[in-house]
Amino acid sequence: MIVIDAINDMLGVVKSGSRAYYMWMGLLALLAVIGVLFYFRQIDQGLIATNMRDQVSWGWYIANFTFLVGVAAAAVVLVIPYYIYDYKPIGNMVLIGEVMAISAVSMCLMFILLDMGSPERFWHLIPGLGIFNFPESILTWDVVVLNGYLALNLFIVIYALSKIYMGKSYKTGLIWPFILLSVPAAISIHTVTAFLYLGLPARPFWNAAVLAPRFIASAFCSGPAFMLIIFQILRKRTNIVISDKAIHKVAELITWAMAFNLFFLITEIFKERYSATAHIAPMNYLFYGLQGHDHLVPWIWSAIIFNSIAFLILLMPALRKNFLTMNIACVLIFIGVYIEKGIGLVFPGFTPDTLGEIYDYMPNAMELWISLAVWAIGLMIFTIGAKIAIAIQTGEIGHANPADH
Amino acid sequence: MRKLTRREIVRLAGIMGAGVLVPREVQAFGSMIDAIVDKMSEGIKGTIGEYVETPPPTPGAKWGMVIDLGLCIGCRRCSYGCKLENNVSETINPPYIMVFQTKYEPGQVMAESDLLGKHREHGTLKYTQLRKDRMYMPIQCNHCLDAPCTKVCPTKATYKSDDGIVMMDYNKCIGCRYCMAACPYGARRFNWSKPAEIPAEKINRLVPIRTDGVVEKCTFCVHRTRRGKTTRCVEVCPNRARTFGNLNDPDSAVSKIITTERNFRLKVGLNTGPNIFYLTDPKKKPMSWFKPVPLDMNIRGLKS
Repeated sequence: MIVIDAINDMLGVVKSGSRAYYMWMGLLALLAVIGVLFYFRQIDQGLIATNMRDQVSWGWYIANFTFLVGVAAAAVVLVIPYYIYDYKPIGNMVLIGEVMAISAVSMCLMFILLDMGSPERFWHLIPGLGIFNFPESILTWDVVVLNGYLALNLFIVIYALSKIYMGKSYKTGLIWPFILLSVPAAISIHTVTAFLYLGLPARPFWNAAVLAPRFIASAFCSGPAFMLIIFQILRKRTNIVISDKAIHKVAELITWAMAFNLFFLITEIFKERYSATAHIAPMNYLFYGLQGHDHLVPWIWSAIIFNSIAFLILLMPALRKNFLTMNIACVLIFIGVYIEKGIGLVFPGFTPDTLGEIYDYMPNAMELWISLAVWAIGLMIFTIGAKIAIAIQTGEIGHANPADH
Repeated sequence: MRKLTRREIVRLAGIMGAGVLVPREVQAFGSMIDAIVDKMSEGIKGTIGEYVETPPPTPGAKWGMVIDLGLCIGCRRCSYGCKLENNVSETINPPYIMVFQTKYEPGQVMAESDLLGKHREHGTLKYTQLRKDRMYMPIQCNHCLDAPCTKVCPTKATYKSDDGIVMMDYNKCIGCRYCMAACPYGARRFNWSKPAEIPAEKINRLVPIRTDGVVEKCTFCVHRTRRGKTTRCVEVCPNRARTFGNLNDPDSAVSKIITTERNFRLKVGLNTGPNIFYLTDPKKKPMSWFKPVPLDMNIRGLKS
């Protein structure tokens, strides 16, 4: 049976690896176990074990969720040039980008589950089983698009890899409409997640139309920035061929995405600062501190400085094409957007709360450990997925000629 | 050998599975399994304890409330009475009704407000000093006509009933807290921890007891109002600042007040259609005649 062969081949790939691979997976497994132990405490005590309270009712978990939706959506930055514009140099990166989307969406779903007060009732969110408030609640839209995007990417990746495994070309027939669909699907997951926030008139900080385009712009810098670093590691450590040209192309795309992100930031700040209504309070809380509560201030300014420096680096072709400076820019962007979409978006949306109370939220150690575990599990999914994808793409394993067997 | 109960089997399996873990966490694992088993059995009947039936919506009614700020003295009996009436646990702070003390000084852009009886202090409710230079402002669920919380709820656990009450179905709530982000009035409370146990003799059998991980809120005392009584907060207000009634009935007290007296509602710009109306007639202000009733007055005793 060809399927059994394939599974055996893949298991072989997962099991074998360098010492660094084993250490990496061991570290991730350790982090995952620690996080799971902390999660027992959260299940046992309830969400009181976190630092969230009625005033700031969403915290670090939802912040991570929001950031990771962006990372997941970013696969489209590779899909569009390769599939739609037939930009060949990117070819080997696309499937790995999609594997990253799969791991990021899985992490998103894990974060949602972590944040639920009654996680054992998650089945209420399965249409048909529970009463699904669709299309009224944007959260149900998010459930639909996130799971849809996950299914779509799983299907594309599994289909493409099995075709390559069989030694055939995969860009034809059955899969093409799904690839086309994955482009608007990627945009939709981040748009719907932005709508989740911006549709709430009770929270003036979020209730701005620019939130959705800004989500997309920041997603298209953070996700690809992460990918570029991963790709450089992969091409050093595996046989996969990824050209400099492809990397520089993606870096260029990041530059423009960051330009838009900073531009949207300026429009947001201008609107609030110049009109200076009562709705400016959350923005003041974030950027300058409010009534002495200023613990978010250093975070957001570092994020803005990181993003701006990275943008300037990438803007200059000489520095963009220099791998050292490009990598610095990528790291800065990843951290900058992580802060901006996490700390800079979710927390100030709740502070001050709708009746003006200020509760200084910051995640506690338990929340950080649990989140770290989700990241570790996500990275494990990515490592295994990418390892198999590379092995198949480089022909390390395959079933090119069934007659041989 | 005695037969193991289902829970013991699950627990044993949990402990065996956790055998490799550090001892302290083994116990936590066991209690997690317990919590899950507890929760699953609750999932059937929803809340803790016996099943409590909610009366059907009163036909043709649309409930609303008027709060006269000129009469409110900030004593927070409404809040305290509500808490007892609705089995609100000590872990829910503040209870459904918050009372703000507002101070306005000429030249200020905005008035400053303090939430009375700040979080975690509610257990030791203190009688508020009556101050003539302050305005007191009770805020609770406004039972909006077009409630943002019901719009965003993914499982219809919170919904608008026919008589205008924004209800909670604790059995359906998954604890995502999207409604809390959507509510412009800070009216919703989440059970972050297991609710503190209420002594058996103090439990109101007409109101379900909530479990952890679900959101709860003011229900306009649905168990009373749908049986022809008024809400507890109206009943306990020593200065009669509150009036409750049917807004669809032109002869009801609430309808008469809101058509004849100057009133405002909170955040009308959001178009949610709040159903709590505030009166601010300055003529009625300082209640020099008002004599504070000592707090040990048995609010509970008012019920019978």
